[in-house]
Amino acid sequence: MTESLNDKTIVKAQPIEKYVLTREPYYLSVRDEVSIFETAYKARLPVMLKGPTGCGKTRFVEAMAYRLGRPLITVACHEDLSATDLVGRFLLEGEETVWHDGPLTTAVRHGAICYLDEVVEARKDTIVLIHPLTDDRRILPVEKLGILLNAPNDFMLVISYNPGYQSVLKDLKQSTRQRFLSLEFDYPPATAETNIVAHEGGVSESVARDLVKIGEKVRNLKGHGLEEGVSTRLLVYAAQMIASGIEPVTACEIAIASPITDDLDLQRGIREIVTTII
Amino acid sequence: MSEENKESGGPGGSLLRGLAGKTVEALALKMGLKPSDRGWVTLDIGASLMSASPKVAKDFFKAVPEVARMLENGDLRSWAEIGKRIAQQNAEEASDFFRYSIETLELLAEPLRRLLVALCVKQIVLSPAAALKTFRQSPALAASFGDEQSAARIFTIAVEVAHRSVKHSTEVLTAAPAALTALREMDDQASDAAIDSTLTLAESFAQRTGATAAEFLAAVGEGLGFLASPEVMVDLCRQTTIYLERGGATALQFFRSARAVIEVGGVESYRRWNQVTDKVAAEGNAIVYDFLRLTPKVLATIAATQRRHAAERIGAVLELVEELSSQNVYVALECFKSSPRAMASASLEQFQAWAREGVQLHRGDRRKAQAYYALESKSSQETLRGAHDGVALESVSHLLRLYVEGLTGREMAIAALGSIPEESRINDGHTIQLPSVVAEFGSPDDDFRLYKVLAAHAAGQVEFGTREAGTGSLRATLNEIETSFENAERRRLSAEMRDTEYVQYSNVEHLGLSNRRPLDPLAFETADYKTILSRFTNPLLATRIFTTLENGRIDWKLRHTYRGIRRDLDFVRNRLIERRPPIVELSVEQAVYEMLFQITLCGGVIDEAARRAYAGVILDFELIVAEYIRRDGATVADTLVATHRVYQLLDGQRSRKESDDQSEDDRDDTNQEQPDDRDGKSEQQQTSSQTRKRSDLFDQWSQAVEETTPTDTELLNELMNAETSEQALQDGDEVFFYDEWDRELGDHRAKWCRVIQRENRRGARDFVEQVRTRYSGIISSIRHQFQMLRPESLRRIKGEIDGEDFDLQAVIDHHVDLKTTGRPSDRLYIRRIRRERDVAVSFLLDMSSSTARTITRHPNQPYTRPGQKIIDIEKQGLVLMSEALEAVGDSYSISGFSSEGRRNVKYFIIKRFEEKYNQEVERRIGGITYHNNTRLGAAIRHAAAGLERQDARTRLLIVLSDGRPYDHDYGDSRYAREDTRTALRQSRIAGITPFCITIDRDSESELKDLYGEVGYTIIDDILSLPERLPGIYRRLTT
Repeated sequence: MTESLNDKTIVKAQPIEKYVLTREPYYLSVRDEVSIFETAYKARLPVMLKGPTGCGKTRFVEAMAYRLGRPLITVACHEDLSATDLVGRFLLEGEETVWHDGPLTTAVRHGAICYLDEVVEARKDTIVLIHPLTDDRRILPVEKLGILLNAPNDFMLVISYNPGYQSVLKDLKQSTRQRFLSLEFDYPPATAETNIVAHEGGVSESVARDLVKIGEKVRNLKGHGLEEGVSTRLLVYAAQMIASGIEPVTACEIAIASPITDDLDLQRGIREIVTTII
Repeated sequence: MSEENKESGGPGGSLLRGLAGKTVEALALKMGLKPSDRGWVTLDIGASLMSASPKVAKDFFKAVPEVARMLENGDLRSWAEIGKRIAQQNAEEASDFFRYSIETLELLAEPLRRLLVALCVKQIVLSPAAALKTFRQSPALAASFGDEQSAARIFTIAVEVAHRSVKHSTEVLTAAPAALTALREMDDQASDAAIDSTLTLAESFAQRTGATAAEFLAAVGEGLGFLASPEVMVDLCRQTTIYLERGGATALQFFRSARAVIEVGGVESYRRWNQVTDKVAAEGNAIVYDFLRLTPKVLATIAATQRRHAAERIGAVLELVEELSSQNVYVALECFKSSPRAMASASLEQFQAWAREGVQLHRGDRRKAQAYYALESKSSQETLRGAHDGVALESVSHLLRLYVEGLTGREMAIAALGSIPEESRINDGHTIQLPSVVAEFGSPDDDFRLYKVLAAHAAGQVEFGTREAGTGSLRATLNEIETSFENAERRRLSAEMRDTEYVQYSNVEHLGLSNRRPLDPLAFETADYKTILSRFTNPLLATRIFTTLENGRIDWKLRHTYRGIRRDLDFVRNRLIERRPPIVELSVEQAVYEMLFQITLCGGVIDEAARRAYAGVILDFELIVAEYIRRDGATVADTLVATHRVYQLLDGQRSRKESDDQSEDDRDDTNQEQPDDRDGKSEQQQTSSQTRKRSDLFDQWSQAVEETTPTDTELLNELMNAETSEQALQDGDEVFFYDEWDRELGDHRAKWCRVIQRENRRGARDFVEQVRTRYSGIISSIRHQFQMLRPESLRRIKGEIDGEDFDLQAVIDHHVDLKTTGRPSDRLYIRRIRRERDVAVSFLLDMSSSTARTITRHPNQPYTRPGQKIIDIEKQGLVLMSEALEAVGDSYSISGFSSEGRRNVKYFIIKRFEEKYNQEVERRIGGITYHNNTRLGAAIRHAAAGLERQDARTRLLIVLSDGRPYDHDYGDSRYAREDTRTALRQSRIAGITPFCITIDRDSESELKDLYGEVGYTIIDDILSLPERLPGIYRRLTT
C-alpha cells in the first residue's frame, strides 16, 4: 500500500497481514489475567506486564491477540533502539526517498496490538515516544512526516518489564510506569506449570512433575546466589530435550543448570538437586 | 595352762596328763617308738595339741586311727601338722578340721589324698584359711574334675604352684573345672587329647613360673567354643609350650592372643599369625611380647569397624603382615598397628596396595618405613586413599548450603559438628550440622554422597515439618499422651495409697502427690515435639525413640518425594547396614533399640537370627512404623504418637522386668520415677560409649536429641594418635589442619598441626586512642604520604582504537593524513579506564611469650622512665600501620599467633580483610597480649591460605617476629627452620610475597636463608618500629 503524503514523499506502509496470528497459541490461564486484559482492551488502556524472564508474558500477549482477533506487532527492545526504529524512516530507493513505517506506526495505523518486550532495555529517549499514545490523547506524532496519527480503538500498547534486574540503570521511570495498568506475572503454580511443561515439552505428566519440582527448588536459590530462578521456558526446553531422547539428568544440565548461571558451585548445587529429584 | 587338760579322753590322754611337750619325746623314745612311726607322730602332735586345747586334742585322737589308715606315715604327719597350725589360730576350726578329715579323705581317691595333704601343707604356711578351704572343697573339686587322673594332675599342678604362690594354687583349683568343662565341650572323642595337652602345658607353666598356670587355666576356662576341633587346641598348646621358653608371661600372652586370633579370624588366620609371631620372636623377647599384647586389640578394632567382613579382613591383614615380616619385622609390626585405622578409611584393595607400596618405597630405610606405616607421612596417606583424604566440609559447605536452600527454600547455614553448641540432633531449622570431614568411602564422589544424604535429611526435617509447632494434630497428640501418662500416674498413686505399709513409712508430704508438673497452657498452644517429649515420664527414652522414628519418617518422605535421592539413600544405607552391630551380640535393651533403628532406617532387621529370636517385638515395631511413619501425610505428630506406642511397649517390658527383679522387696522404691530415670541415663551412657567406639557417622540418626557426642576433633585426635593433648575449643573457634614438613622424613606430616582460629580478646579501646594522641604528628604525615599513593580512580587514555569520545587531535591528524598520505591512523578515540592499586596484605604478629621482654632506652632509670614490652611496641606499630593502610585503601588483615604444641596453634584474628577498621578492631588491637610459643610454619600456612582467597594482584604476607621459631614439640631448631622454609616456599608458589620484620639482630643469616636477600628487615631499634613500619610497607608496595 503506497500513498503520497505530499508531492515529493512516497509513504510505504507495511502490510499487516503477516502480523495476524493464524493458530491459537497454547496458553494456560493462571488467574483472571485474561478477563483483566480484555477489560483493559475494551477500555483502551495500555498494559504493562511485570514478571521474571520466561514465565509466559510473551505467550500471554500472543494468546490475547488471537483471542481479540487483532494482529500483534512485537518489538524486542534493546539499547540501540531509537525513536526512528519505532516510528519509521526515510530510505533511499533509487532516486526516490521512501518513507517506511516503523512497527509502532504500523500498529497504530492498523489498530494492532503493539508489544514492546523488555521495554527497560530501550533508550530513555525512545521510551518517551510512547507517552502521548498511552494517555487519553492516544496519538503518535510522526515528526519526520509532520503528522499526528490518531490511534484507532482497536490499537493497544503492551509493554513488558522484568523487575528482577536490580540495577539502578534498568529501572522504569515513574513518568512511564504510571501510564500503564500492571499485570503481575510469576512462574505458574506447580500443577499449571506441570500441564504447561507436559504440553509444550511433549513429555509425560510424571516427567513434567519432576521438572517442575526441580524448577521450584532451583527458584528457592534466587537471591542465594542466583539472580533469577529457572524459567518455565527452560523447563519446557528441558522437557523437549527429554522428549527427544536426551538422558534426563543431562537435559537438566544443559537446559537448567548451565544456562542460568556460570558459577560452578551453583551449577553443582543445581545438579545435586536434579539428581535428588530424578 | 597345760595343767588344765582335764577332759582329754584320747588313748594317750591319761598318759600325757601333766607332761610338758618336751618330755613326750623322751617318753616316746622310752616306749621304743621311732620318730617316723605313727605312734610317735600321734603322740608328738597330740601332746602339743593338748597344750593348746584339750578339745582339739580329743578330736585329733578320735580321727587319727581312721586317717592313719588312709595316709602314709609322712602324710599323716603333714596332716596332723595342718591341724596343729590351724589350732594355733583357731581351736574351733582345728576341731572341725579333725572331725571332717575322715569323711573328706574317704571321698578322695588314694593318690589325691596325698596330693591334697601336700597342697594344704604348703598353703597353711601362708594362709590357714585358704588351706582349710581347699581341704573342705577338695571332694567337690575332685568330682568336678571328672576322671581321677585329671584330678590328680590338677592337684599336682596346684602343689607345684603352691611352692611359689599359695594364692595362685587356690586359683588353679578354682579355674580348673571351667577349663575342663570347656575342653570336654569341644568334642567327645578327641577331647582327651586336648585335655592331656592342656594339662601338660599347665604343668609346664606350673614348673616354670607357678602363677601363670592358674591364669592359663582361667583363660582356657573362658570358653573354647570357637575352636574348630580339639586338634587345634593340641596344636595351640604345643606352640604355647615353645613360647614358654621365653617366660611364663610371654607364653600366657601367646595363648591369649592366639585365642583371640582364632576367635575373630579363624584357624587359617591363626596359622598365619603364628608364623608372623615366630618371625617376630626371632627379634627378641620384648618385641614379641609387644606384638602379642597388641594382637587382640588390633583385631578387636578391626572386628568392630569391619563387622561383617571382619574375618576376611583380618585374614588379609595377617597375610600382608606375614609378607612384610619376611623383610623387616619392625616395619611389619608398624603396619599391623596401623591396619585398623587404614582399613577404616580405605577399601581392602587400597589397603593392600598401600601396604605393598610401602615396601617398595622405603626398602632399607626403617625409620621412613615406620613413619609410612604409622600413617604419619603424607605420601603414605595419599597412597592409602588414592590421594583422597576425605571430603572436607569446608570445601563443600557452600555447595551444600545451596543444595539445602534449594530444597527447603529457606536460609540455612552449614556448620561443622561440634563447632557450635550441641543443642540437638534434630536441627534447629536454621543450622545444619555436618561432620567436618567425611572419609568413609575412599572416593570424593562417594564421600560427597554421604554429605548429600545427611544434608537432604536435615533439609527434610525442615521441609517435612519436624519442628512445626501448635498445629491441631500436635495439640491432639499432646492431649492424648498427657492423658495417658496422667492416668498411669493416678493408678500409681492409688496403688500407693492402698499399700498400708507404704503409707505408714512414707513422708506425709509425699503421699498422694503427683510427680508430674502441670502442663503450662501456653506451652500447649505452641506445642512442638520438644514440649511433647518433655511430658513423657522418661523424656530421655522418649527422645531416643523419637529421634530414630522421626528420622525414619524423613527418610521415607524423602524417598517418596524425591525419586533421585533414593539412589544415594540406598548407597548410604548399604554402608549403614554393614556397620550395624549383630543384634545377637547386644544386650536385650540395646537389641531393642537396634531393631527399631534397623526397621525404621535400614528397611528391616538385618540378622536372620535376630528376626527369629525377636519375632514378636519386630512385628510390633513394624506395625507401628507402617501405621504411623510410612504413609503419605504422616506428620511429626504421627511420629510422636508412634513414639508413644513404642515407649509403652518398651516401658511395659521394662516395668515387667523390674517388678520381677523386685518381687521380693518392691516397697523399697519410694519414688517410681527415680529408678526409671536412672535406668534411662545409664543406658544412654552405655550405648553412647558403645556407639562412640564405633565412631559411626550415622549416629546422629539414632542417638537421642540431647546427647552429646564426641566432636569430630576428638575423633580426629584419636585418629591422629596425638601425643599432644588438645585444648578444648571455645565458642566461635574454627579449626584448621595443616601439614608440617619433617626434615628427616623428607615428607610432610599430614594434618600435623591443628590451628585454632579465634577472634582476639577485646581489650580497652584506650590503647589505640593513646597511640593516636601520642603519634598524632606522625600519623598525619603518614596519612598524607599514603593518600598520595592512592591512584586516581579514572584515567583518560588517548589514541585508542575504540573509546567513549573522539580524540580531537587524532581526528585532525587523521584528516591531514587523509589529504596528504592517504594512510591515516585509526586511533581516534579517548578511553577512560579504571586503575586500582591492587594490594592485599596480611600482618602476622608473633605473640609468643618472648615478646613480653621489656626494652628501654634508659636501663638505669627503670622507674622514672620505664621501658616498653616488645608486644606493646608492635601494637603501636599496628595502629600506625592501620592508619596508613586506611589512607591508601589497601585491603588488609591483621592476626597474631602463638602455640602450645602442634595441636594447639592459636591464630588470633585482629582484623579480617572484609572488616572495617572500627572500634571492634581497635579493641582487639588493645587486647593483644603475649602467649606461649612460636610455631611459625603452621601460622604462615594459615595466613597464606587466607591471603590466597584474596583476589588481588599483589599479595603480601608481613611477619612481625622477635626471634626464631620455637615450640616444645617442634623438633630442633633445624626442624623448625626447615618447616618454616617449606611453608614460605609454598606461599611463594601460591603467589604471595612473604616479608619478615624482626628485631632479632642475631638471626640475620637465618633470615637471609629463609626469606631471601630482600625479603626481610631487621629493626635495630625496636622502639622506632611504630614509625618505621609504614615506611617499610610503602617501600614494599610502590
